[in-house]
Amino acid sequence: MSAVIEAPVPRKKHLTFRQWVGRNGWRHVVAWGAIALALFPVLWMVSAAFTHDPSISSGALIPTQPTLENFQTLFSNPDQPYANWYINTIFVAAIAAVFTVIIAAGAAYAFSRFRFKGRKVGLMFLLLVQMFPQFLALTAIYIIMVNIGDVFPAIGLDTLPGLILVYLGGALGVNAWLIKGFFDTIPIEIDESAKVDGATHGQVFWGIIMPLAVPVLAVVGLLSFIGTINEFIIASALIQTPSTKTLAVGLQGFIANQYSENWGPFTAGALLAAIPVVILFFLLQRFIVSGLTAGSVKG
Amino acid sequence: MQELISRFGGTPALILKILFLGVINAAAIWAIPALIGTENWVMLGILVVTTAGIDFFLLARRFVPGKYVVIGASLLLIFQIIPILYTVAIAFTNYSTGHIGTKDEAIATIQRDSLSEGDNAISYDMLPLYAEGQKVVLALTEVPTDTGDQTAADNAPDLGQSESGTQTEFGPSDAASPEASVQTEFGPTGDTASAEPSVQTEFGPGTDTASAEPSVQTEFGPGEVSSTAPSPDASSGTDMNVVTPEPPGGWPPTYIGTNQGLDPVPPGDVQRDEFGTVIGVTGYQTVPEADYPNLDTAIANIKVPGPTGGYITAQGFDSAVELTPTVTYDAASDTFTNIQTGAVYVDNNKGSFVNQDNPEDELLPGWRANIGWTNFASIVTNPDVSGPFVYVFLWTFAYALLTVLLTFTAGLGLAITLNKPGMRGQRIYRALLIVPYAVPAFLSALVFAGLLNDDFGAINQTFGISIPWLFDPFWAKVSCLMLNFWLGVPYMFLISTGALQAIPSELQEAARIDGARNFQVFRLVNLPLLLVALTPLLVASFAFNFNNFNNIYLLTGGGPAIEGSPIAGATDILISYTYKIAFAAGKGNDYGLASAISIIIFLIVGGISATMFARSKALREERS
Repeated sequence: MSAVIEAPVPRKKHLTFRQWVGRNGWRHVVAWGAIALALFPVLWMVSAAFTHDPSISSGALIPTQPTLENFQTLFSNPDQPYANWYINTIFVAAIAAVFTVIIAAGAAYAFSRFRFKGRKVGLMFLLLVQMFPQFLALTAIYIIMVNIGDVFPAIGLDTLPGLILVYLGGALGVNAWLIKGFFDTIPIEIDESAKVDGATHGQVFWGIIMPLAVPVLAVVGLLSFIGTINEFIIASALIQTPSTKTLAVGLQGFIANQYSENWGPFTAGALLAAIPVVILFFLLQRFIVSGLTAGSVKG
Repeated sequence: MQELISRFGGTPALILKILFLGVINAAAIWAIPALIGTENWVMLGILVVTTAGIDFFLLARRFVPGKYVVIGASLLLIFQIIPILYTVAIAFTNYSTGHIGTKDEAIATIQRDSLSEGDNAISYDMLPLYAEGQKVVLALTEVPTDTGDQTAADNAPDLGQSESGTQTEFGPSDAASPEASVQTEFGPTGDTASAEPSVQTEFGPGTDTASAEPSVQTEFGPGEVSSTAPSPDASSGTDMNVVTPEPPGGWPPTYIGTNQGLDPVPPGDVQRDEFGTVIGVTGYQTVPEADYPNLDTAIANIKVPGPTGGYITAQGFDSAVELTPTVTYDAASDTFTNIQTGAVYVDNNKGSFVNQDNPEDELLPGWRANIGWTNFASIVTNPDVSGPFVYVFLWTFAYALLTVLLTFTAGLGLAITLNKPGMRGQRIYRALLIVPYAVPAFLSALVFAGLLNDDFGAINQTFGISIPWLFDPFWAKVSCLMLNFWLGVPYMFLISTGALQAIPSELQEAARIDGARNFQVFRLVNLPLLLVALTPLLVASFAFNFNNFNNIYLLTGGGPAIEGSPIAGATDILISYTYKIAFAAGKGNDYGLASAISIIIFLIVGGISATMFARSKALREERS
């Protein structure tokens, strides 16, 4: 009996290289190849950030003499207020993400739980309007922001609150659809039993639906956060003051046409900018993967 | 559950709602007078409608769903829908550089710009004066046309004058220092001008340059004019003690110029300094130079009808010249006529005055006018537009399609490879593979531009090659696809993995029992199911990349330039091309054409997406 059990074990141990490759080995080889490609640009950027004048150095992936001078240069130039850009970006992206979630969830609740005239048309309209990229209407947005600034300078042109408002103009649409899809899967019986207990529609929304929908809210919030950080064109048109710029606008202006001069400090800035986003992404990875596929696989 | 619910109701919620409504309404009420004051009716309408809508839905007991939509809808209205409608409206106009303002503004500008110095134009030395009631008039002294000492002495300061004139034009809004120096230097002088002729000499017309350069100012000290001052007066050979004599023909005539005409001044009423420069006219007060910055517009607006049919117009603060119009406008027939050639320019109903015999001959600027479908038509018919448009259009499709195909193939391949039950290290592989998706894409695009730099970029260095990745039309396209590939594969890997795992394993087992081999199982069972599940996401990816402005703009800027098109570059996609048409610096802005192309992009992407969505079950599932 023992021979029966032990017999396969030595055979596995003596798996030839060919057999190993044939079974799962090739999968590991492909995986590591793909990982190398995926990580190379990132590692190269990290390496450059710690290298003295990386634009003329040999380009070794592990810097021979690591240095922090790129970071010092980055923060010491008052013409390029990197710290301001960083704070501005986090501020705009965080506020825009929070309000995007609230606004989109509100609309999703209305479309998921109520039946009213124009509901279907409204849903289609949201989808349609979203296909017109907001920044194609940049001229019009710019003029509107000038007008708003004349009356309310605090939320007009060249202000971060104004920029947030413009971003929130595109907050509905896809986000409302995504959240609505999730709300639809929450049994309506839960709402009804709460209403029998005397809950108002507001209490059902905030107290029952929203807590149950945390996974999809996290996805929408994170995608909005990352989307805002990545947004370049509207911010570059509406923001002119250097200290009010966002990272995308600031870093682009910093590096464009001066790659060899500013490459070192730029990579340092890029590294610092990427770190929080990457961390957040991996913390919420579980939600993202389900959120990305939810809409399609179920449909 | 009761506890949970009760937290979100009652007094605090009510207070929040009242506070919110209070702020919104207070802001609206505060803004209304300002908007009425500036006659900004469109903004006022938007403000009233949105505020009323928010009030109505949040306060009314009925219309519960409205309460949850109204704020988002208001933002959508102001920052998305209205801009879209505005863009559609612009697409049917000629709104562009040279067609910005109204027709009246264009007529005024054409009239002003057509003024030119005629061949026999007379130049004048100018001295601004105050007439009664602080009204500004000009003392104009003819400059003899021969090139004598007098002219040299007078023209030289003009150069300095025009510089300083430019500075003072920006007067109040300009940097503080030049203005302050004008004030401090000329302030006291102006007050004492009449009392101390010698001081007046130093600061008289022609020495404005001093205001910009205090160092020059010191050289004009009372005792130094003859020896050290590089003054234009010195070039005329005069000595400080030698008063310029009256020329043999007498002093050139001086006039008082107003909008009514030239009024000769008796020679006895003209006061001159020792160089012969007019410094005052009896009966008028010489304008202190301290006042110049404030009189900029007043002086520029004086257009004195001159002897040869033109208008004598100030050039800076100390000279004037008679300018004659080349065209005249006839309001009755709404035409311009060129005085010299007799050509008649008529309104072409497309925002320009054109020569009625030669429509290409156009007076600039034009005005903003409705031109119907011209912008759309020009995309097809105008070779300057259609050539680059077709090139960009095809590349945009290729770019979006290749991106989806390549990333999906690679992502699906990876997903199949790693989706093996019992394989070790799956979690760590997956985490590392999606790193490119986690890094903000704008950073990746900028880093790739460095990576592909032909000098120090890692690709060229590592492989010891020197491919001009970003400066050759072909390789630049390859670079754009490489960036999209790197960014897109992790996403496709994620969604493919999700879809693969959602396929019921019974189906695959059933296929195997029926004798299908691995590849057949994949092709006949997995792939169709995957495509059904993922098609909406692939369409969305296509639409996203069709409009992937950032990756193109941040990597190549749309470049390199292609021959025959001043705007479109080899890697420009429609959206970056549109952006350049509208906002590219130095090449003119054509908002009308850009808006028209925006609408075409919208129709393409919207059409494709709508078709796919309609075919998918997403909408059919709707319970109504």
